[in-house]
Amino acid sequence: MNDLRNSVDIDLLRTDPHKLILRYQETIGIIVKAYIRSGMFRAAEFEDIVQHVNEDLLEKLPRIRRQYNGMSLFRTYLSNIIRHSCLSLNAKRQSEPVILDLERSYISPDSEVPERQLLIEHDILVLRAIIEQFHTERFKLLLCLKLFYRIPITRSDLLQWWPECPGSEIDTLVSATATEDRKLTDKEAFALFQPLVNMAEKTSSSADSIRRWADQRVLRILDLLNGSPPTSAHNRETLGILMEDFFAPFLLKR
Amino acid sequence: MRTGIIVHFFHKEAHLSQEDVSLYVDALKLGRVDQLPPLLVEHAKNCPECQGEITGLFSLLAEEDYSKTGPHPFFDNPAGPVQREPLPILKIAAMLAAAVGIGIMVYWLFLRAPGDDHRTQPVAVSTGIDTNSARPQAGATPAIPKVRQGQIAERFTTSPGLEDLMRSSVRSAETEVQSPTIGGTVHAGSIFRWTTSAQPPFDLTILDNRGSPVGTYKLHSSMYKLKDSLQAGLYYWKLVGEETLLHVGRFVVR
Repeated sequence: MNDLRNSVDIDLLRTDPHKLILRYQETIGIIVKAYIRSGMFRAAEFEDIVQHVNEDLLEKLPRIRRQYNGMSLFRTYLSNIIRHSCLSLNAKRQSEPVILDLERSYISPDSEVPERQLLIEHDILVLRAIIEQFHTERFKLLLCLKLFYRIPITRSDLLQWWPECPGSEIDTLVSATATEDRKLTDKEAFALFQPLVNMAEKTSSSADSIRRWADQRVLRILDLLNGSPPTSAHNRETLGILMEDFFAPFLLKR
Repeated sequence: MRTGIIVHFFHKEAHLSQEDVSLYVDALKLGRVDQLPPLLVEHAKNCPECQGEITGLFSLLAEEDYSKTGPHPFFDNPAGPVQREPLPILKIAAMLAAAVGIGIMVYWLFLRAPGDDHRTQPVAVSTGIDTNSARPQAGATPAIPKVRQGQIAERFTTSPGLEDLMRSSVRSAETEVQSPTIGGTVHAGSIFRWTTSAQPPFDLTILDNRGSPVGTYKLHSSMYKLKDSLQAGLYYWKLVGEETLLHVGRFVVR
């Protein structure tokens, strides 16, 4: 059944687009609720927003039929249209994000509220997707994030980044970061990594330039996690909490 | 893996279209980022705005189950994505075949130099014709030099990069093209006509099937009458207004 879903969607797009929109009512509801959770819309507006999205989709149907090129799954493509419909409505209203809602679970990190766990799991999925987008840089970036947050570096972290990494260098860095020594300064942490970067990339970068490279990406990760318009309020500290769970996914199963 | 360019351009800079963003999110959901076209991956890596689009959509779909999606129209379909309108594609294929056939006939009837006879070795041996004769026999099937035939066919092959660009949509100005239709036949005197929310002037560029510009015209109205006679072949045309790519189309000259 699922295997046919995309074909059915495409057929309906051609033959009965109104039925297609009916099929996507659940998806519209999920997306609108996500924006309500983020504070973009009020819960009481749910029905109105869904109605707005439906009207917008009906209006855009001819354009969707013309522009959908069949390269992506239709469910993803339509979700993007629904997303933009919500964002346009928000921009039109020029509403301010509800910052209070954005403080979310990170206000009380010790609580075991199930919602908090779900939010963390969601944000870790998003964080994983963000890091994937750095593609060829992602393994170096992961190493730098571990250095930033003083998370122990493993042999496989280094080999994923540089498969030819000399064994002796691996041992040195692994043992130097194994203790989660939070007394290290950033400069000292990146000084541990500097010789390896210069060997792997055949450069002569300073430890500070590597730290700055990583810092720029941390800022971009935070921007992406928070969204535009902002739907979260992550900062360096909350990113650190996410990173710890990111590298220890078993914690999520507890 | 296909590597076609599937970015389009607006507001001076290249950005991913909604379809491209959806495809990237499919890849993230399915763990197939490595199978995306390198240009798309490279663009996303260096473009915070497109990363924002990708992350924003992914965030909404993070908890959605894609594990039973079945074959993907891009990743599992080496022949290309399922098209929304298969009929025009078949029409184009038929037109191309017809155009190649006509081209061969034109060559044989009008362009072939008389002196070519002695250089052409007849190959139609199964018809019982005296193949040693230098003069063509009545009713004999003419033998087309394979090199020339290939050259004619080459002029009618599609450009993967421009086809991708053509399929991509634009996020900004709304543009409707009245003529020529995609794959339509154009000759000297043909009218290019469109309506758009973008303001003139427009830059109309005609490109051959290798992507080389054949002519560029600065226009102050939403139409252009083709004055030049073009060599038989497959062509593309690009319309730019307000520094935004408004349309890419394909046409045939016979």
